[in-house]
Amino acid sequence: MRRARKLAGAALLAAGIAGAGQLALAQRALEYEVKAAYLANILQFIEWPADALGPAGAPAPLCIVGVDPFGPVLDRTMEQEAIAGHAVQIKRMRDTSELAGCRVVFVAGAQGARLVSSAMRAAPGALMIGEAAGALDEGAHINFVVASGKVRFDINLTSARRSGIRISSKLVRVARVTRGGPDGR
Amino acid sequence: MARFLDLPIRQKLVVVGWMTSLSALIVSCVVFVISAYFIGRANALIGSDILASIIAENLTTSVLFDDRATAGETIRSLRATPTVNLVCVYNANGILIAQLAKTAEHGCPVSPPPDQRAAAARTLTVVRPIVATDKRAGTLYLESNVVRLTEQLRLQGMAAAVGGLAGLLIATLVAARMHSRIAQPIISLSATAAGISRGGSYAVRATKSSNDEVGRLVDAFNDMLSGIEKRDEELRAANQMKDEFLAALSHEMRTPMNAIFGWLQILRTSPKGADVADEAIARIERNARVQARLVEDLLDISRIISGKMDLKLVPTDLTQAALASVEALRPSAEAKHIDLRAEVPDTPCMVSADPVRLQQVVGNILSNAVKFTAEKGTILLRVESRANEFRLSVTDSGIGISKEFLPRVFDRFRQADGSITRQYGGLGLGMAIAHDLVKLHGGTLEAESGGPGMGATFTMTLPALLQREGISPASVASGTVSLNGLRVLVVDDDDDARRVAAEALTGAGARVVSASNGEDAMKELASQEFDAFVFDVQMPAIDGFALLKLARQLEWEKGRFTPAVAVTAHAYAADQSQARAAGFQRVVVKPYEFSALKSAIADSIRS
Repeated sequence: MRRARKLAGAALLAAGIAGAGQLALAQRALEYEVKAAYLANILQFIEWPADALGPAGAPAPLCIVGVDPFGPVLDRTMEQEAIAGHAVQIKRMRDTSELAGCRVVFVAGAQGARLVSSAMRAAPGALMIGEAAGALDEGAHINFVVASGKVRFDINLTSARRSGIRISSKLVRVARVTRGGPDGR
Repeated sequence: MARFLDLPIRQKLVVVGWMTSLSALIVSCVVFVISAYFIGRANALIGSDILASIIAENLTTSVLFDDRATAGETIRSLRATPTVNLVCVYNANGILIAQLAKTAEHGCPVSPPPDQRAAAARTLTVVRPIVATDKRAGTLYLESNVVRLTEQLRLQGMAAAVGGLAGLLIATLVAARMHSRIAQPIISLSATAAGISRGGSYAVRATKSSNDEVGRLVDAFNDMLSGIEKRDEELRAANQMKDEFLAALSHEMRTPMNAIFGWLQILRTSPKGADVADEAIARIERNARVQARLVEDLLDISRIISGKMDLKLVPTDLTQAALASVEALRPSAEAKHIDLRAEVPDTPCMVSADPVRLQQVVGNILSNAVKFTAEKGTILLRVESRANEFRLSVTDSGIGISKEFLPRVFDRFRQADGSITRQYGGLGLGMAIAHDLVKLHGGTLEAESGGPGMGATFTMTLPALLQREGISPASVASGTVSLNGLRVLVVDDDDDARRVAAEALTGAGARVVSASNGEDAMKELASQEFDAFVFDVQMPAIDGFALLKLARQLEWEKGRFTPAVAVTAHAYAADQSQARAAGFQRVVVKPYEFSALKSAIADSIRS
């Protein structure tokens, strides 16, 4: 609830500030507050294979690759989130070498598309989320975009299926672009 | 209601059937429509809620990710749903992010109302949360109308009414057969009754087709018919008996009258002082007595039937009465050479009886015996004393009585058959009167016979009077009464009656003054005094009662009182008590023996 309200407020602010075209820093902070909230929301509509999340009580690592754009806001947002009962554990890393074991990988930065394929090799079965143009082509499952001052996302269902990840149709419904039909064609 | 009561039963049944079905139909229709309304509303609310929950589920991500376009698209799918009026979607902060308003009545509220499921008169409102996982992501406001519900209700009501009317029609057709089942027996019974009362035969019977109330009615009706038929038969028999009796009566009256007229002609044509005169007078007298007896018997029967037979019960010796009757009947017995004997005890047999009636009973039994006993037969009268009763039996050697007729021997107006009447004459009254008189005395009279030709025995039993000592038997026949020197006023409008009375009284030594009407009588009363009055009761202008009243007034002024005797042809006790009430001291009934008139005058003066 708290998070949802914050999210809505941030969205409005983002819209207003984007319209003003000033104070890029503040705008950027707001954008990541929204993305953090959406990240938490997206996790509610993802389904991993039954044994992918490890034994009960084991934390589910969410790994951020590249320069962390969120800061403490993600920690706050994820504090009470869980993935199918596994507490979310945030890990920050410079490259893709230590990604093994991550359940969710967020490839940060507008230039991050080239890191996606190696990240997928390093952490097969993890939900791959990007925020760079072309990330979806590299195999990312979900990719944040900013359109008309609003944060939206695209979905690659073909790639998700290949990784054994199921994305709820509810989430698909609000995606800006969806690649691959629900039945894989 | 009165008009309903006048309807034929068949139509009544139809009306009753209609009324019951119709009221049941109306009530069930109303109940059905009302319950359908409430159930329909409840269902509509549930439907509305289900719709809202489905929409809310589909809106989850739109709200979560602030996707207003998708939210709008989602709720636009409700455009085609006619019951939906208004859909509003709010995000978690209560900001309206999408709406669908189909009727312009009002738009979405600025902020979401509290969660609810409410049914108003014309709208159903559902406000429910949009939930993501277990957290509230927003609010859905859904307002529907009940137009479809009322439309549905109207259709259902019409269907119920049409179905009910069809049912009513079928029920009426089916009932028509049942109705005739119920009404037909009543109609046919009614027709039978109408046929009988139009003059049909009582032998007709109504047919019974059921064992219900109508069946019992038919049974009762048939029983009634049987009763009427039997009564009808009895009535016919009684009528025939009455005809026979009247014929016999006419015959019995004519026979002595014929003799009287005949001997009167002989008397008139024969020279004065001829020998035949004595015989003529004797025969005229006997025949007149026979006629008087006949009239007396008829009156007795009438008195007995109407319960007006007054008995003056006094201690009476049965033996004396029996012997007096034997002597009275001896001449007629001797005329047929019948050996008439009497066996009586030598002590008096005291019973409580009216001496005149007692002698009448014994006389009737004896004359019956004489009548039915052939020449040279025997008749034995025996009086016996038993423990508490006396028995008088008369045994004859006559024609006897058949077993069939024995129980009816004491019936009135009856003789064994018409041929007996022709052969022996008489009205068949004597034994009936005797039987009834004995019963009135507290006794019994029974008949026995060995059969035709075996003779018969009639036995009378009377209870004995307990106190035997110091009772002198009442004299049946009174001696000669002397009215020497008495002045008597006789008033009668009938010439013969007046002459006879004057003659009788003069013969006894009285000085008689006669008057033929009340006016003359009053003149005589004004000019002289009398020792006794003899007034006829029935007279034109001033009758006996009125005359006595006038006479008593006149006497009262003079300070006198003259005893009065009423003479009347009315033989009933009621007439006599009326005369006593009017102030007469004695009453004499026509026709009378001279001695009766004389002793009445003597008694009236003595009292």
